[in-house]
Amino acid sequence: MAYPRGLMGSTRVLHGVDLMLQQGRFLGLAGPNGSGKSTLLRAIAGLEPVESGVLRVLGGSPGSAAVQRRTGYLSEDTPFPAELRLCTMLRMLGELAGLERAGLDARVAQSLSEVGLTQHAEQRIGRCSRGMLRRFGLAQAWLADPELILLDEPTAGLDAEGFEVLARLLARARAQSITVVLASHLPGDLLQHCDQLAIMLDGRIATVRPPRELIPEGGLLEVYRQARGSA
Amino acid sequence: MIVPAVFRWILASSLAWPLLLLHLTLLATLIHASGIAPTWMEYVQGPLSLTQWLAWNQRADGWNFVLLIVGTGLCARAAWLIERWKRHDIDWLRTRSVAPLRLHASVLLGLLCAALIWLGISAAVIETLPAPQAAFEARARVAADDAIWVDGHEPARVRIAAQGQGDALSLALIATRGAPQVRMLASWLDAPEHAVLEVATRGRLLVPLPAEGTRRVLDLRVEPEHAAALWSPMDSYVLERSEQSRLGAVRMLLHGWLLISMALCATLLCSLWMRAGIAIALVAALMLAVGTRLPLQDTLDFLRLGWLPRWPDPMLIAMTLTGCLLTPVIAGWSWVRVRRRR
Repeated sequence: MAYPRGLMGSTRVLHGVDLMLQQGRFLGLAGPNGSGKSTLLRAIAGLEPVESGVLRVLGGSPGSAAVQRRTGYLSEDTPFPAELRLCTMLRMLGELAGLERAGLDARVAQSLSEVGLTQHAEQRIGRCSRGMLRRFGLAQAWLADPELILLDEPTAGLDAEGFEVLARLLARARAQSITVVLASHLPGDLLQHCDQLAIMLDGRIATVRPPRELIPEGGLLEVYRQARGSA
Repeated sequence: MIVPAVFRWILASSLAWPLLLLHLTLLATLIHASGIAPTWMEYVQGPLSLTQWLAWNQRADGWNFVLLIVGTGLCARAAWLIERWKRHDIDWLRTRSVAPLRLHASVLLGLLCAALIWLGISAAVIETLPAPQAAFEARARVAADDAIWVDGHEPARVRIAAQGQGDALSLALIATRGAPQVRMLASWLDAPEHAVLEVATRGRLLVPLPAEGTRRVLDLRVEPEHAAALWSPMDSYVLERSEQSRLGAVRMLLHGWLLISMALCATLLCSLWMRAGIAIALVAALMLAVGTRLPLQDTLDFLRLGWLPRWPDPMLIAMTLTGCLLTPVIAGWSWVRVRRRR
């Protein structure tokens, strides 16, 4: 995968990515900063064009409306419009996702309740703390009952209750056979939630194995060193 | 065609309370403005009394304020929005399969509706200003080749080839030298209608038009003998009596909306390819450059003179609407290219 970069030519961001994920499985993505985790998630979400190679998501093209409608995505940051209230924003996202208007308000209330933001429903996004925004991000990712959920560092900024919310949502996803791809720097997240862990280095996938086999006592740093050494 | 949710968001955020507060504060200041001190030159301008001139000038200044605030505010909103979207701030929309065309159409429509609402509020507020009845509506410019020099020694005889029917002629005269107070006289050669005006430097003579079929030859004179004046046909108009002064606000609203629409289209397109600040500066420079050539300038002048502004030219309306239709298409197409180049 390459990005054209003006007159300086193109920069290859991802290359040698060969990965297949079965339905209902949870894949963890780990790697140093700039290794391409977020870019891979963005490509799967249909936000970045793929210059070469084949990327199939839920049996279709990642940018297609049909696939995007079945995908939930939590981006690294939370750039929602600051002037909107949480409930308004969720309602708007529900409308855009094609949810029935009749039950939309109830669905929005339920989503906010699931992430513990019911009492903040009328609060403007610009006035929310980072942790609240992260919870809100989780709510919008789960809003339209997706079949694939992409989470980019979901625990960044979460408090203890937030961790519990995420664990609850992921447990429900597992029960519903929803596929999850989760990028994180925290070994705890990866060990707790993922079936497989892909280590990314310099835009390629160095190895894919169960996290318990891969993450030793030394943590992720040791994994990166070993992966670099074997490469 | 449009995305109602995005449209509603843009509209609501463009009518946000800080802008409302700023807008209403300005209008309130304007309504209670007592510091508009006319110079003695302005006092003697044309057929309006000082009170009338103040009232009409307040309305014209009001519209100037409104267009400046609303136009700048909405253009800035459009530019910053696009700039943020060029970063990853639009991912939440793009993962909902919102096509760039629909997205830009919604944004532009939201901003255009916001402009319409703002101008509607302004029209309603400006209507509350104390205003005398607009007596005339400018129908056409007086057709003449050059300015005419009117000497105190002998009258200038001018054939008026004015287009269209009307009730009066408004002649712009500039006293160039002579006495502190110059008396300007205009009378029809074959009709009794005439007008007299005393000015220090410049003024407008309002001459009733003679009955149809009468030769339209006008004698222009200045007094005293050593005085002189210049008649500018470019600023002279055929006027028609009008009793519909309330329509003036609606016409001004339309003129203003067309101008803001053009500025918004230009801002949206420029913002795709350059930074928000540069785009706003470029559009502002463009508007300043072409501003004096736009019909709005004439319209504001008419308002200052106590005349009813004209309806916008149908060609201008058609061009603006075409621009509004094409902008989302071009922006949607460009968006993909911009994203690829990023």
